[in-house]
Amino acid sequence: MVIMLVLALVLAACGGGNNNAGNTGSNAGGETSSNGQNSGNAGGNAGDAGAEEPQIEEGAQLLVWDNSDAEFEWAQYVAEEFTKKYGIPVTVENVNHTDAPGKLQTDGPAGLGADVFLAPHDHTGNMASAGLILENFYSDEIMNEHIDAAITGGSFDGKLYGYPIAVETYGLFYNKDLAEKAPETWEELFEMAKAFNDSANQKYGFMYEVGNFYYDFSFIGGYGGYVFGSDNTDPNDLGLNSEAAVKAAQFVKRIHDEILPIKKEDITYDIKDSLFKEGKLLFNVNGPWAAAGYRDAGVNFGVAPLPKLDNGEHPTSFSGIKSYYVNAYTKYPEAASLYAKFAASKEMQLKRFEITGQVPTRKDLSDDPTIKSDPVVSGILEQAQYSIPMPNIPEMQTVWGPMASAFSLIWNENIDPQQALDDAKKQIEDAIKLMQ
Amino acid sequence: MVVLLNGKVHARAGALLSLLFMGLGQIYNRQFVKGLLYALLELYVLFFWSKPFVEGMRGLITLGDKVQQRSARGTIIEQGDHSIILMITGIIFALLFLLFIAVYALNIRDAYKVGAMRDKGEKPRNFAASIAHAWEQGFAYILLTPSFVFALFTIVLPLIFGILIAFTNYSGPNHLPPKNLVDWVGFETFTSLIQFRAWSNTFLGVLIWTIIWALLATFTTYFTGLFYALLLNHRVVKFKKFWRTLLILPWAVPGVISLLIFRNMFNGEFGPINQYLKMIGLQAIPWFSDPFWAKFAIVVVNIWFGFPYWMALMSGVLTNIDKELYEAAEIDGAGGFQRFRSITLPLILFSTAPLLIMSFANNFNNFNMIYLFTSGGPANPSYSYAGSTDILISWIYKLTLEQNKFNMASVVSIFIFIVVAGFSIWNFRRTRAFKEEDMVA
Repeated sequence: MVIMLVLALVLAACGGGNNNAGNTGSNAGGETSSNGQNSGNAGGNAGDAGAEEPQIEEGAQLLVWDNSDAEFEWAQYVAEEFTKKYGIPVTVENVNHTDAPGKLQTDGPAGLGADVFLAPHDHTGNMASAGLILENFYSDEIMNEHIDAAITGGSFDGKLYGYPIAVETYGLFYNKDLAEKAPETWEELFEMAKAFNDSANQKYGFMYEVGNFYYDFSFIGGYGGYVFGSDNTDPNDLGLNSEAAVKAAQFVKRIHDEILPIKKEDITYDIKDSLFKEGKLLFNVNGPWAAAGYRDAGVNFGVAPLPKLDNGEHPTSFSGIKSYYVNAYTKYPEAASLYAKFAASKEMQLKRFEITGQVPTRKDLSDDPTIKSDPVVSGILEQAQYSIPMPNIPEMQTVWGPMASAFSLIWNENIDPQQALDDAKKQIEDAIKLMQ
Repeated sequence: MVVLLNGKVHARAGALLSLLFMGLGQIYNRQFVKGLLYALLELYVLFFWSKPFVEGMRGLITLGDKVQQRSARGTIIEQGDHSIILMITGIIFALLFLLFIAVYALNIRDAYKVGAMRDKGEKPRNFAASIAHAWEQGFAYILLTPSFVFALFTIVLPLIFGILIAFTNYSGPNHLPPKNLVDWVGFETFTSLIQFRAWSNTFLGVLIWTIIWALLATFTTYFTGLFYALLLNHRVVKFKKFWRTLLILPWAVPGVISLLIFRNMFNGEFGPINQYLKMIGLQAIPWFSDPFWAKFAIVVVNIWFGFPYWMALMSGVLTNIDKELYEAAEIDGAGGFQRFRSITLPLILFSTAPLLIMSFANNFNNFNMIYLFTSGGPANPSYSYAGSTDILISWIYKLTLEQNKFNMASVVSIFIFIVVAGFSIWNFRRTRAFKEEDMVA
């Protein structure tokens, strides 16, 4: 009987809690709907005023997520400038741009997410489908001011979501002490690499991460292939086992046979990095994120676009667009969108280049002398002309695994490329079907 | 009431009344305070909790009907139903309901017992005496109740939630609340996974390797730990403390870091291990690019990580073995190995057998080891989303969680659970039979 009493006490305690939780849930629902009404009105007003005088919410306070180190420095600079100009207090927190979409999935609906956050563009599809981000409120302006790749990357289902901040792609890093100039075609590269190769002393002419489809795709695109049809928006049209893809696979095999006869598992990013720093690697396919490290190691390096293939085309590297997105659960959508637009403005993007060395996405900055004179950036910018943004539809997540496996098998074993690519395509199609 | 036989009039009447409404039976038995308290409890529950309970159950069954409404620009107009929160709330209500039923049953039992006392002619206790009696007799239960309730909500609730997810379509990109609703789909996820073309091939292959790996990992670390424990325990060995500290170090270093370093060490082309092999004059071994050597490397590296635990454990067991057993054996002429086989080994197995099962279950799901060391590679052309060294859990991670397919991940974890639980139960029963034998200790 006393058990009953104790149980009753415990239950009453829990029960009270539950009751409150139930009430808070419905209250929160009520409150948000009234907030929704307000932002609906604000949106309506902004529409009336023709986006000239957005109704910034009273007492708005913004939370921003950005990367650490140099990028964090820039984010704080932007926050200060914004507060100076508009009087809205802004706090910046460090949440890495690759972690932010995942974190937002749980934090967003709970009201804990940042109002504006940095994210890689290939998550746009996922975030938009899950209802985590707001549309770009200034899409006309943004579309005119930024390069096409940045706009395509940040759009999903015909709507623009992202406010582009920086673009990056990979290029050919080369050791200037060991090679006078960068090769223009792959034939030249093959010659130079063969001359340099000395496996007994662990010297290699060329290395790239074969097991990472991020890099492999550049050859597929260079031969005219694609991942998804209709500009990477149609998940039912997979171009990964086309003739172009097979040609690319054969080319990759040629690289293995002629200048890089080691197993794929042994070509890791760390190994590549350390060999390049020691001057034992002539050509290295890498991105601007590695530049600082090479500079610190004292390597005299240059960056060139990837050499031309035998069909006269440049390999189409995947580019990644870092953009600011506005959290759909933000209490201050107008203020947040204004902040994101401010961060994507000319002054702010130039400042970002100065602090972090990352390539801006604005059309009016691509001819800027400071940017053009930076050897790393100009090389990357040139390659960026031929780059394609990674597909951002949710189905893209199913592609990485099987394609990496296919290229591994093509590289390591004497497997028929058409067979390997057909298998990979089947795996991807099955996985996409499971997503429906 | 004429049907009541054996003079159990009061007992049955009391029980029946308590069945009708909590406390009635107690009042019938003249325990007024107790009866009143029970009745008040039921009234409280009925009054305040009926409606929320019905709402909760409705939420659990339908998982929400109202979709979130968004304005043209994406801002939220109406919150809508959050299916997952509804599910959790529903489970909580279901558990609370079960608790209430338990209390109700206690109430009936109490009325019956007190009634039986009255049938025998004893006088039922008054309230103060009841409390004192319960405190004495049921002290253990009273202490356990709060932890039981706590465990119910922190262990059972998440388990049930995880299992129920497998029967929904909770997955990205189209069924992630709160923007979208989640629905019950029954066994659809199970069937679609089985029909998934490459499923049977990959699943069987990965399952077999997972079992082999778990067995190998468990036994190699067990016997290596035993070996070192015996060494450390031997009277001939000096500086025992030093050796013990040195050998515990692998356990102390964070596994993730060590794994990444091992990964570089075993690099087929540039790693130090192969360089040493070449220096000696042997051929370099393709550690990561050959399926067999990759598996070999995993087992060997896992020994480094796993043996300190067993070594520490067995050192303890060994010191507890009576020295006289060994002396008697020596006198009888038993050699070293015979002593080990007949005295040490059985005693150690006896004490650590249940831990072997736990270790097996642990290694079955040893995600870190596989994902960080070989990433599941090398690539296997006949597998889908899995490499040659992938175990079930790392395969499922690549297939589902990287793509937000929570329901599918839940389905496979149920499969894994069935395999591991089945093996563990079977093994436990065998061990218990083993334990019931007479062990001279």
